[in-house]
Amino acid sequence: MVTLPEIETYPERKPDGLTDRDALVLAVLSRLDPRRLLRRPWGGDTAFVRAVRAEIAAIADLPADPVRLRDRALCLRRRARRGRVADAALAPVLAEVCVAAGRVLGKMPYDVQIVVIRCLFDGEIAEMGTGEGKSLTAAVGAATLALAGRRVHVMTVNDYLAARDAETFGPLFAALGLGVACITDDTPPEGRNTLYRRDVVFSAAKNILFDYLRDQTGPQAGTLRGLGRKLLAFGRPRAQGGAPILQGLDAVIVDEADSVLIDQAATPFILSAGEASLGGLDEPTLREMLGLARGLVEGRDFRKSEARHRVMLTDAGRARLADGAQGARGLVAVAPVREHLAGQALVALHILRRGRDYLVTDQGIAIIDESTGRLMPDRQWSEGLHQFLELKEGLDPGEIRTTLGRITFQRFFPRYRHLCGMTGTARAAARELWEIYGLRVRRILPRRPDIRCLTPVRVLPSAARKWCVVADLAARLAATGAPVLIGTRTLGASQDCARALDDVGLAYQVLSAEHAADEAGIIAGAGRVSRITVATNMAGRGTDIMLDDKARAAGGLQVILTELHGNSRIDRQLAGRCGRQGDPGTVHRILSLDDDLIRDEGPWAMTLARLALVLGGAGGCHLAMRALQALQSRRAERARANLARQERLRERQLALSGRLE
Amino acid sequence: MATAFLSQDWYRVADLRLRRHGDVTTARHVYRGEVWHVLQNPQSGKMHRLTDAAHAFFARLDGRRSVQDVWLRCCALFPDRPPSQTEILNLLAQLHAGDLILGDRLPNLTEIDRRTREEDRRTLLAYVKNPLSLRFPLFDPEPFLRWSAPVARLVFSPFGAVVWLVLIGAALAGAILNREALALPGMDQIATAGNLAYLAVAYLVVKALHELGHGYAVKRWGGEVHEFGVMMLVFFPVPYVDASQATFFPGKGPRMIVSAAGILVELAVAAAAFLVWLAADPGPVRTLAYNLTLIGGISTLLFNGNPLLRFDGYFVFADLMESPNLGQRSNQFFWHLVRRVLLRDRDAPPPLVAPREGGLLLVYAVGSFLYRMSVLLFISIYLTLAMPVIGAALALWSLFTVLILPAFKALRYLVADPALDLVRARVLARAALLLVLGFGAVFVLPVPHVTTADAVLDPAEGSLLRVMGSGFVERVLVADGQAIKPGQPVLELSDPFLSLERRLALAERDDARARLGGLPLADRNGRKLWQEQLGFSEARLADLSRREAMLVLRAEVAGRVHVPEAASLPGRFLQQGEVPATVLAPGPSRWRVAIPAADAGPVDAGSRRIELAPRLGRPLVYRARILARAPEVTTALPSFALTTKAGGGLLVDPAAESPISLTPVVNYLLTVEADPAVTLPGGARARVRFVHDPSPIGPRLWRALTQTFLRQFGS
Repeated sequence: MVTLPEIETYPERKPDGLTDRDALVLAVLSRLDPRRLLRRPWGGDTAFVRAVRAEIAAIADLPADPVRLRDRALCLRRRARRGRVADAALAPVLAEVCVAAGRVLGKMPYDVQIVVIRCLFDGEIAEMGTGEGKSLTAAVGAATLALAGRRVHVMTVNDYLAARDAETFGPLFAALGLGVACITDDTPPEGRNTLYRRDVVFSAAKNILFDYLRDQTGPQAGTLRGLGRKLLAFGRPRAQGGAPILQGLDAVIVDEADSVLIDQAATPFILSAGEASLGGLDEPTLREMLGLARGLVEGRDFRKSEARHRVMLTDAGRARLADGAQGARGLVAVAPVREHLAGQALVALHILRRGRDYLVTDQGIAIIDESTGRLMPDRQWSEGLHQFLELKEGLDPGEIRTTLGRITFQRFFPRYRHLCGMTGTARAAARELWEIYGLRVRRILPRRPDIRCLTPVRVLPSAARKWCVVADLAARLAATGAPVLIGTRTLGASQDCARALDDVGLAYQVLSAEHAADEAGIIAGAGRVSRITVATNMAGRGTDIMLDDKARAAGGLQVILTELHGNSRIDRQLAGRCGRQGDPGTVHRILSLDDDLIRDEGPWAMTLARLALVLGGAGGCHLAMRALQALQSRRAERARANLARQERLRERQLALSGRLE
Repeated sequence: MATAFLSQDWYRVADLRLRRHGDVTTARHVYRGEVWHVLQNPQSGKMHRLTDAAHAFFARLDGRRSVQDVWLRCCALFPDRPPSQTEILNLLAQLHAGDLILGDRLPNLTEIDRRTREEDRRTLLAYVKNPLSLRFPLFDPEPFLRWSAPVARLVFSPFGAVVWLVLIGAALAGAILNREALALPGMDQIATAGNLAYLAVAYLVVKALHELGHGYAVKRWGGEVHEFGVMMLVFFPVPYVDASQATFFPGKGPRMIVSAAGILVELAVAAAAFLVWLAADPGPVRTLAYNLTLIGGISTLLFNGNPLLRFDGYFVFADLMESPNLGQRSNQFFWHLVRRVLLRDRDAPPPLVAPREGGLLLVYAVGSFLYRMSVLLFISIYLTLAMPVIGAALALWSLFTVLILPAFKALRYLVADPALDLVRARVLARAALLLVLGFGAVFVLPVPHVTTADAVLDPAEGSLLRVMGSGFVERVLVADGQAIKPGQPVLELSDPFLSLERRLALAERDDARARLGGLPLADRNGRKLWQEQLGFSEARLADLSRREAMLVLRAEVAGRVHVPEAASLPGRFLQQGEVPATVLAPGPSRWRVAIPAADAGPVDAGSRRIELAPRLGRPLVYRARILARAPEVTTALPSFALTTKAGGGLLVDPAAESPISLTPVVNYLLTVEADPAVTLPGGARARVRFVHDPSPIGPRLWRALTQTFLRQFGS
């Protein structure tokens, strides 16, 4: 058993305090020579791998020895504290882990996986092909990092994968004397504190992020950190109840790094709580507002716009409201707030309809998603609208949730002391990864050569025609015995596709991101003979479709891309589902002029694409669409850069309220 | 609207209990009828201007109530226009950045550190960006000023005002009484080696008193001055004091006096020195007094008094117009307008302290920009000439920071600013339209193009009646303006010596004739002698008759006779060659014009028409055409009438006897088909307008600019 000495209370990287000018310099630097941000690709045949192999050979036949492991780990830890770890220090520990993996799991890491662990140790993003065993690599990497004295978070794509990996690799960590935990949505908050004390924690990114937000907004927030706190706390008992949930942000291994660090970078995560701290928006007030709103008459006091889900008050309506709210206190006394609330109440009364926009269930109001028609019981309308609806339906109004904290991945991940990750597609994002996170990308050469085929692209004039062609193609391919994976961009497109397949009378299965665990079975079966699977891009990412021998003989997995996405990495991800570990496979691309990619750009893009189709045929049109794709991804990139700038501005603005979470 | 009213980030501050920094002092200012509050943090010395509503919020931060409570209270106070959460957040950020509030929570230290670093860098950058105006703080004059504060109270008092008025009045009176002695000396007279020393001394004295004036004025109304230093303006040292505390004074009067104190002091010094100069005998004292007057009077008014530059005059002007921070806000307002035109964004509040301030700001923004540009251009040329390599580099750098960098920023804003993402196409179209319109106005739109010059009438052949023989005027035989024929007598002169000579010659002839008759035929030698004598006398008589005939002045051509001084002529002696009368003959007249060589291009290229307006005191315009153009560029002018000496437009070499122009010119000869009604005397002057084809103004400006440069760099 290895005993870890007490580490610092809340390790976290100090914010770098970039100024706008610093950011500009970084952006310019990264653009000057973007190729330097890519490290030289590594294959399995490197000096480091040979060293590890030699170490493995030396100890493979010996029995497991905790003392030897401890000595080697301590040696590594000493080196690691001094900075970059030399091959010679890392190899013995990694060899121990590999041997343990081979012994406990029956899986000895391949050479390429060992190389990837070197990358993870160096704080790089490793770009490795699909099916090269990212899960095992992450586990071995996490174990090695933990042995080097770090607390490791392994960020998986979803809770299901976190639970699966924590369970699968549990024995490995146990054999190495490391504690492992898994945090999912369902983990109770009370126990999390102790779970995070384990050496390795598997979780989806947002769980850890929210726990971090809770720490930041909790009672400990806003005080000095590090040495300052230690000095202030010297000789005093630790404050009770204020213990942070996390043990800090030490090291993290991010799976699907480009998706998490780039595509989702700008999404804000908001921690909210039910306390009505914003004064005055309690139940009586809401009832009163609803009563006032009931007294308003359409046409005289307000006009409504069904399409925009909004109500506009007229001057008469405003005056009536002001009369009704006389003597009110708190927020209702403030005219703009009062009018906004009245507007929300009117929307609840006159625009939202039961059965179309929401349902009343046992749990309360459930929103019906406009585009998919699905029930979204977890979602809430904001700014009082939900509560007005509940009142209207005669339910007890829930509390209006107020924001406690807000953060994006863009701000969260740089706070890890050691950030590294893996993905199948990183090259296209290398520049941005370096600019924002200071990460460099290293491509790992595949173990076996890639023998995927690419059929010529087809572009059809309308979406309906496209789905017909897709269904025909799927039918033909399935007839040969090959499994087919149809990738779509949205849930709606998945449904359209399903309908087209129904028309042809084919059996298929739909995979969506919503219910990952239920659909693990679908993925397991997706590689069988003649199996047809429809999946959205999010479902496509990270799923590892294993082929059976007959399917392999029938030509391997046939991936049909039915649409180009906003950036080419997602397309490559989907295409990467086939041809894993040198398997055969084919990528078909069937696009249409109705695709969102073109629609989003407006009429001029449509004209351009049509012209390209007429003049240059499918190839020309595909080129035009790729250009649109490049345009969109560049725009997204600029939006992210702008968000970073706005966050800096916000930080400056709110400096008086303490450090931002 | 409500979403902008409520802010997403409100949760960060809602529960904070903030309080005002204890040392902050407040003054109530009124600008154009609007109430503002100026806060000052004595530690940093920085000022902050708050609206009445913002101040109401600030004043209620007492450390007990939360921001949320104070905000609600303010909403109740201003029910018509409650402050939005976004506004409050901005205000809090501003107050925090100015160290005006304290919180109950530990502030973001990283952020504060970043702010400090950015400020340091900005200070450094300001030096790099503007190498032509660098500040070097030297010492803190406050102890001295406090020690000598009674002086301030004495100087800035009614008594001081009276003394000042008397002094200025006396100097003005002296100047008016001695105006002929006052002539502006040329640069060559000021910048002599001997005078430079005096000039330097005078400069030091005047500027020291100037800054002292500012300092005392601040002291007089209770402010403090903590920085005295030297500013290097185009490598020329100009002392300064930090009188920013005056901004804090509630009264507009004291603020203006502080800003104007320097000028007032300098004028007083100049007035005193002028009186000394009037009284003193030539010597060092007088020279020094002269230089003091020069610097204290003229240079101050030109340099410090100009509101378009950021010196004393600017501050006086800003306070007078009740437009605080005029320069900066006028720029902001200009860009606000541009944004409004480009983005159609009518919601953004304009940076005005009061309604109806916009016109002033716009005029000031454009005016001061153009002025600064021209000054910068001037300085650039001067620098480049003075120090070819370093000067040129500095000049280029200044032009880069003032012109190219802002242009680049504007372009980047249009092309890449994310705020424009949704409306970029429209904004770009509007910006392009504006640019095209502007470009069109400058480079395409034809604008009337006219070259004007002075012309002088070239007298026609035979129209001048020149006196051929000297003599006293006997009679004037014609009336002024009378029509005459060729050969008709105009004037009769008499020459008494001529008749005496004639009698003498007659007597000699008779004598010779008589002697000849008395000589024997055989005396051939004697006869020959007297015969010759007789011939000589007769020739003399003939000559005398011819000369007598010349005493009658006759017209050579038909026309109207013009005898300007007909009444006073009789009895006057006229020298041979004088022109007592002219004959105005109908027919083409010829005019001489000199055009500066730089402007000759368009004239040579051909004009649509040439208008010639004689200076008659009544509107009369002839069509003229070019008869001849002198092939060479010269400095010789046809007449003084074209020069500033005689009401013309060309500068002339004052030392030369004949009219020599200071700028090279091209001489033209124009001809006008005469109007029978009016005939002009020779030497008459006229204004000529060469009306060219309308052409865009851009190329013309460019030509003028390049010529200026060529002239500057060529010499």
